[in-house]
Amino acid sequence: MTLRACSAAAIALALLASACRDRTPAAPPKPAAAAAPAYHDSCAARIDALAKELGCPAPRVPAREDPESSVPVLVVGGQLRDEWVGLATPAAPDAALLELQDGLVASLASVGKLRTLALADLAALEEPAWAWLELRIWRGELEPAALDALIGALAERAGPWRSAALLAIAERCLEPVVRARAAHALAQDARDEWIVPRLALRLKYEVDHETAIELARALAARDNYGGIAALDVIAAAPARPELGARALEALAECARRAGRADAAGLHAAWTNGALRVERALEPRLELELLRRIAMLAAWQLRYVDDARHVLASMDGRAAAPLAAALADPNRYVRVHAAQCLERMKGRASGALDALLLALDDPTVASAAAAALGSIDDARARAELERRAQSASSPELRAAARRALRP
Amino acid sequence: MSASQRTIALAVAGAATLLLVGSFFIPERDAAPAGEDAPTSAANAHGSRACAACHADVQAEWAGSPHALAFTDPEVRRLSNDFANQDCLDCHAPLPVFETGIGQRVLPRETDRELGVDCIACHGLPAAAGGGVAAKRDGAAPCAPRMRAELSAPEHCGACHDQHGTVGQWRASRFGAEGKTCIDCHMPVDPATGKRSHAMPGGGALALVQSAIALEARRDADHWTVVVANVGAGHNFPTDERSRAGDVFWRPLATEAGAPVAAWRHVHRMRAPYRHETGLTDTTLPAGERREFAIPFEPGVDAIEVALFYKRTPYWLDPAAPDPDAEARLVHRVEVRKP
Ligand code: HEC
Ligand code: HEC
Ligand code: HEC
Ligand code: HEC
Ligand code: HEC
Repeated sequence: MTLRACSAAAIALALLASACRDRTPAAPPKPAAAAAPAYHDSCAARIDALAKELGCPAPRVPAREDPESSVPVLVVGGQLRDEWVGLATPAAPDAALLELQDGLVASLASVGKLRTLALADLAALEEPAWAWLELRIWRGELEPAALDALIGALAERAGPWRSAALLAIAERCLEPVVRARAAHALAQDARDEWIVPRLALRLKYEVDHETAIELARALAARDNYGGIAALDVIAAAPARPELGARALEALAECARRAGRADAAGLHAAWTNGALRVERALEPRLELELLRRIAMLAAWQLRYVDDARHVLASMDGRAAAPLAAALADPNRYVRVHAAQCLERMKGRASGALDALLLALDDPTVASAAAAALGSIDDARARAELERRAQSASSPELRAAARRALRP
Repeated sequence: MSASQRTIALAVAGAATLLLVGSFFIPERDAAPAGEDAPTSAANAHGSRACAACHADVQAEWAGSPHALAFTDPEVRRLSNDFANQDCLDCHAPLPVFETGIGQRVLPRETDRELGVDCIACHGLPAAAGGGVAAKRDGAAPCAPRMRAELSAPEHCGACHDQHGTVGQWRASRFGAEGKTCIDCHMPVDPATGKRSHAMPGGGALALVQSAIALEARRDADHWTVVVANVGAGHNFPTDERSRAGDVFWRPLATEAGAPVAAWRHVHRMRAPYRHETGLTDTTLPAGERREFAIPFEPGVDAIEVALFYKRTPYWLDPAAPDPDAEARLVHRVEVRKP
């Protein structure tokens, strides 16, 4: 070894100790610092309780071994179901009912009187029949023409399976015009708030501009303005000229609903958390959010990405369950929950205290710092400035500095 | 991805990034205390940079590997909007695998992101467990090598390379049964030094791809037959990242000099679709498997050529008239004639 190389190695050696410390987890907090929060289950028990209360099967996180599919596969009652629905799954209908359904659905594709009669008969079917119809829609077993006809029958119905079935059409029909019509039906009223997460997820994958506009409207009808970014994109570069105008109209309609002067004002209010939704989460929506939080632990990132997207698109009421998730025993749930809060920006202000506490847990501290940076708050800023200077972990120092950048 | 397949959410992400490019583009060393020297100064080499001083050979191999490019690769930066899409940080700028745990997924880090998948990402041991580097045996070297058999295990690679079942594909293959692991093919031992290479060739190394797949064509009684077989990959061909595709084409062979060259005609594509491509199925070719295709005879065609192309981005500029010579890489080409 030459002298030069030797000295380089000596310097390297001197720095190595700090090097390896730099990039390995921070040492446990010094006694002076607050103790890391104790971990506690943030969703599993509540999911079971809610499922029991609602009489529906409890959703489970897909296991690593579960087959990959284009849609989240969830294990319900020991059976693989294509998509979990927070509704009581009725006993399988008997063969006669299925046959009747088949006949009615087949008649839907026809024209004239036969079709009118079929629609009337379908409308008269009891809930269990609709539950199984919804499953068949989800599985893609019905033709677009039949689905289109069903929308009419469904729009008038009451009961939870109505929204579930419309949602399944908006999610699964291969014909964009029919998806748009289903979403349009869902935009007509504020019923069934629990569909908000699935509307947000559908919007993430939607390619058809008309459907996207209707999905954004259906969200807004339920006080969720997560769809306005999509409306902006469509207004700027519509697939067809008239859709640009429709997107602008929808933006104006959303602004009016939210009591804001214009789209810019709506954006600001949605982002900074000024648009509070005061009503309590309906149990089905809470369950829907908690199951997404549980999904943050999934091995497959597609589930995590979707859950993160859904949770981050929520109004400020999602901050509380996400704050609890910062102390979940599962590290992936903790970190990804903090990332959701970061993406919620001002709407996450309800999680402020929990985030400050999480700065003392080295396994989530960096992600918590990022979240604090996205909430415009003096206390958060002061704490970030302190950590940027004096945190013992370089990871946290770097995260705090990044979070403080304008 | 063609414009029509682009989800609106992607467009939303793109719009948001325009504002962020300025602050994300220049890689920096965030862990450096304020006022420290420029990152290139040897005196402040830290983290994985410190390894170079004593492991220059490994460092040189790694620097030319895809792992070194994980954060700076232009294609990755383009698709992640310069990492404004933070979901992409996890594996492209990860915390050490040993910190999140073998068999677990990696999580993103804050410091030295520009180094991508660096030495510490694979070798770093958590300080809580005494620190040092994972190695094949304990050692007294300054970097404190600690024997960790898992370092060489497929599950180690799987922390980043198993979102699409690559480790399971390997386990189901004959290589899994024989115990020939990822590093046996991707980190071959250099006979000269007895050390394993960190260059980690993959789909970018033509010779490796050529060794993975066999292409044959023959003339049957009333049609041509094309056969592709995965003979050398320890997993599906292609595997992992969904943008990869293997495509088989044929065309009449121009037998006379100066005759016009016909356009390539598509026979088969081997690829796993992205999650939003709900209309497509996974057609990757499992290890050890073969597929046959019949090409009907055409009047006046007495000879054909068949070619296999490897493509690192999935879509053709003009899907109706793909130009593999320009947009993909030729792996194998064979000719058959009528006698
Ligand atoms: C001051 C010099 C020095 C530095 C800096 C250094 N090492 Fe080492 N390392 C050695 C020596 C000497 C050996 C033992 C001889 C050998 O195998 O090359 C060794 C051995 C190793 C081994 C085990 C090799 C085996 O045979 O199994 C690994 C793995 C390793 N180092 C990784 C690292 C990593 C990763 C870094 C940076 C975080 C690093 N080293 C930094 C000097 C150094
Ligand atoms: C789970 C870990 C993981 C995550 C998260 C991840 N990647 Fe990757 N990425 C990989 C691995 C492993 C490879 C190499 C595998 C291969 O080439 O087949 C890769 C390769 C790539 C490539 C190919 C590079 C080239 O030169 O062709 C691109 C582009 C890419 N990733 C983009 C992204 C983007 C964009 C995101 C975020 C949306 C992302 N990655 C998130 C693990 C990941
Ligand atoms: C993608 C993961 C990965 C990265 C990145 C990586 N290594 Fe390794 N390295 C390994 C594995 C796996 C082995 C063990 C191979 C075996 O079992 O022989 C290894 C072996 C080694 C050895 C022992 C080599 C031998 O055969 O004697 C040294 C030294 C080493 N690495 C240093 C480094 C340094 C320095 C860097 C950064 C420049 C680095 N490694 C980056 C995975 C990695
Ligand atoms: C910490 C995450 C991580 C680990 C662990 C890891 N890789 Fe990678 N690997 C990546 C990423 C990210 C890329 C893509 C880099 C790019 O091109 O942007 C990659 C690329 C590759 C490629 C090139 C793929 C191509 O398309 O050409 C090969 C081969 C590879 N890795 C093999 C391995 C092997 C073998 C191991 C285990 C010893 C391993 N990797 C461990 C993250 C990882
Ligand atoms: C028997 C040898 C062999 C084994 C074992 C093996 N590979 Fe490969 N791998 C190849 C060959 C050959 C290619 C190039 C052909 C190809 O692209 O699939 C390749 C390609 C890749 C690529 C590039 C992506 C692609 O398909 O284009 C990645 C990533 C990769 N391997 C990861 C792994 C991992 C992770 C393991 C262990 C679980 C592994 N390999 C085991 C031979 C092997």
